[in-house]
Amino acid sequence: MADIGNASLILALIFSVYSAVVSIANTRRGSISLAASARNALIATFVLFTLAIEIMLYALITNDFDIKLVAIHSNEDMPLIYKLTALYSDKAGSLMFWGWLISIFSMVLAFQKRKTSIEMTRSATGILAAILAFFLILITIGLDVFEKSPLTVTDGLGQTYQHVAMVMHPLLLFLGFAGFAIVFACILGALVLGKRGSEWIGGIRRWALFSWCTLGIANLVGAWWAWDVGNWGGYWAWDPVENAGLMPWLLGTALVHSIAIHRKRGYLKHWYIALAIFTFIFTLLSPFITHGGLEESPLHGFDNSPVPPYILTFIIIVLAGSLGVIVWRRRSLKDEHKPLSFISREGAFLLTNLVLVIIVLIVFLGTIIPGVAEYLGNEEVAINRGFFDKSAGPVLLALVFFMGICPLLGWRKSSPGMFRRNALFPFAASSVAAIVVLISGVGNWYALAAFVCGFPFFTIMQEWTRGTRARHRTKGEYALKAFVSLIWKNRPRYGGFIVHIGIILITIGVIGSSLHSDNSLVNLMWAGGGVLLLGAIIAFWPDRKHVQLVMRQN
Amino acid sequence: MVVAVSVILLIIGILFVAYPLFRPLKRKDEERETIKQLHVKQSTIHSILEELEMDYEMGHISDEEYRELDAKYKAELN
Repeated sequence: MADIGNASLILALIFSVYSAVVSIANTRRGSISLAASARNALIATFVLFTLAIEIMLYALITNDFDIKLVAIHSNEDMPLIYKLTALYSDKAGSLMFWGWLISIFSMVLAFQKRKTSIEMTRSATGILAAILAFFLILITIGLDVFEKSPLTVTDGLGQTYQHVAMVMHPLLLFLGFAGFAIVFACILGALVLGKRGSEWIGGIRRWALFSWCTLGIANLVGAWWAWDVGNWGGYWAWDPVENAGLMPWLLGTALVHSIAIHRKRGYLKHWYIALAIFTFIFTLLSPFITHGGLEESPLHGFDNSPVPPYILTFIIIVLAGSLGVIVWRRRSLKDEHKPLSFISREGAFLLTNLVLVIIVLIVFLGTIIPGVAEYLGNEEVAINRGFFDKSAGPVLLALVFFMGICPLLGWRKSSPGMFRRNALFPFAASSVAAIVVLISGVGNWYALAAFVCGFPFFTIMQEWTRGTRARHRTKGEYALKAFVSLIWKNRPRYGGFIVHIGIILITIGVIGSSLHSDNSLVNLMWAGGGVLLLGAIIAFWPDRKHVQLVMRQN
Repeated sequence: MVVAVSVILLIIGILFVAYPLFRPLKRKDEERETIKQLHVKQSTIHSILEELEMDYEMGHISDEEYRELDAKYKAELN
């Protein structure tokens, strides 16, 4: 079976290369027959990829320990769900799964009836086929996913990985990564055709939102797992592998907002194209980091993987190719709109995007510097979480505050009077919240947090109230119907505020856990022996394998 | 066995990929596509117009700007 799986992958590679070459060669000619042939080759790639995945899953379910992936990551006693998810516990298996998701999404794009077009599908086909060819090279040449095993039986998946969060986290992460590959292919495909993608922006926006949501949830689920399995230093340790998932999400955040502005106002065209390219590149950077391209992750990652040079080469090809297309099609990128005023909602969005890019740069530098220093033969450079907390933390907080500013500004140009009028309620309400926190004696930092988080929260409340009133006035709808219609009929904006409230809640959680935590190192010498720590008596029970809170001091 | 299965898969794949190269071209698909594109564009403009009206009602956009954009999108719609 393993040999048939391998043969399927090699055939899939052949068809994906054919699809990529024919699509790219057909760009100028625009032959319908060649485009259909390239599309069929992409379908053949998907079918063969699926066959290989089926074979691997069958091997996992039936405990076929002749395959190394099965022998290392699974055993007979493991529950079925973990046998299946053992696929993405492996360095080759995870890449196989990711590539397969891209092939599924390519099919969805090819057969999508709404909000897309044959033209867009054709232009994106070649790029997606090239991306699939890269993944197939990784799992057939770089790594051998169906490698035969000299082992008989091993321990299987580690206990910490047999957790519901570890079923969901990689799945959501790869869904997000695969989705951003589609966004990249569509936007670059539009550019190749000399179009701006404005005609297809609705379809692209849906893919970007889907990818952004799944990747965001993946990061949260990963944080939940880190917290739940313990001994990780909390839910977020700024580990290179964690950062690898965070950076594309941050860029994706900027991308989603740029697409929204471009769709509505025609601005930020260059931004959304650049962000689509770099978001995709950062998704590729993730396996580069996870497979030890920079350094072995202190917490998790794959050891001794041969794929980082392949990934780095592909990143360079993507970057050079994208820049080449941008230079080639620079005329179609010329802005025909009036110059953008910085004191406007468009300007504020641009500033928000810049802030997001700055955060990504900080996290990127903090992540790569130790590896680069080691590569250059310098002394060990250790960048701990303090660097990230102190540098990225305040900028992230400023970003949350900015979420409250943008909706208060008018489009194209905003007068100071209009801004003052709009900002009065959120400013006053968040100031009151901060004063209440200050008076209650919780602490100065909490008061600042109440102001920073309160400002965007009260802005959203004000926008929802005003919007509901406006609908009530103009459409004659009663309050509840007006509110529901407001959100439903203007989902990109008023629905988006729901996500902003989620971000505010996460920020409050992060601030609370950061300000209210303390660390002490103690030795619990004997079973059941208690120690007074941070105002609580804590005991360790070896038979239960956990530390127990016995009594909290009042 | 493996070689036989691989050859069968390869032949089926080649036939499937080559099929469009030998069948007559269908311009109908292109026409259908153009109509679909127009529908997509119309629906996008309708939703933008609705958002624009909302922005105007809430004072996020000036009278002049509203009239200019409203006329522009309605012209595109026609």
